[in-house]
Amino acid sequence: MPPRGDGAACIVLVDEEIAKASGKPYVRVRGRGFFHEGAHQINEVPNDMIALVSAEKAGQAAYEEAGIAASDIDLAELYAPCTIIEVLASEALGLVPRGQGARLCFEGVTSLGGRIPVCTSGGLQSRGHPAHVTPFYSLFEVNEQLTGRAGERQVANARLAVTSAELGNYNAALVHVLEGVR
Amino acid sequence: MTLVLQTVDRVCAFPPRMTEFTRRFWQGLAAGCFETTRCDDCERLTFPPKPFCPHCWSKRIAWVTLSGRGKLYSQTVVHAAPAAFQDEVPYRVGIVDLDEGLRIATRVLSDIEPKLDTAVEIVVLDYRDGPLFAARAIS
Repeated sequence: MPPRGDGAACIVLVDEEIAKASGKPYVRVRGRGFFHEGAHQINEVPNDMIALVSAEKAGQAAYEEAGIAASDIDLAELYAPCTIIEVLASEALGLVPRGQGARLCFEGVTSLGGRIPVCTSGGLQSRGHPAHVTPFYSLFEVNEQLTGRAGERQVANARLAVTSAELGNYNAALVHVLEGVR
Repeated sequence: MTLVLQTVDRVCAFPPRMTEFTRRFWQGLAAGCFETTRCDDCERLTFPPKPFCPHCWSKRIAWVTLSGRGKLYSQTVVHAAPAAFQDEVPYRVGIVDLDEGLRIATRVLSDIEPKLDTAVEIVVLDYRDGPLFAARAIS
């Protein structure tokens, strides 16, 4: 686990007409999904604890609302305080096949320049984890990517991104699909 | 069913908070009995015991005795412990699926790494100031 840090993030939400009128690149919320399994940490009703079912269901709902499939996503910024959680969340969100997350990460598939870069910010371990701000921090990173301002971290031609936030042991998950408009 | 009692000749590092409602659980445990509550309406069990049913919100609950037997779902060893448990490192904790279909978190007593899905039983750790419970492989 990374130590908890301090941090602040600011997100400006406006009607799309106002964003358009600014004449600057902006990011559109294409889809959103939320699911809570009704338990905190270890569910007393035995379930598959490495399936991260809430992330899977919230992800499906977000992809459905966005009218896309996981394979359409260009990059992901996930709430993953521990190494294994990034692997499992990548699998639950359909970015990599179940059981393949660690191997594909090792092979560079989820690195910058890979098929589906995950946590271009460095993730919670190296970017930092201001716990309650972290989901906004992730939206900020995705905003930088989708508007082409991520510098050396830039994913080429990034148009669609997915973010996740969670609580407990991914007992609940909030997933957003975002689209860059340039 | 009576659980095996193991005497631990010291006080608990972090004694459980006993409430009027949970007193029965801890007193039962001291006597070798692993109890929880079951809903009279939907008949589902819950653990730890609660004065309401988390599945249907009914307050009609009854105390029942569990077998104290189950299977090991996962386990790990804690080397970096919270201050209260510093003197006990390294210690093993795990997740146990009880035969009654309840999943619990518990200390696991084993000097070697137990195989997952191993059949385990709950034992009472009889500390000077009260009981705790743990799981160990059924030999």
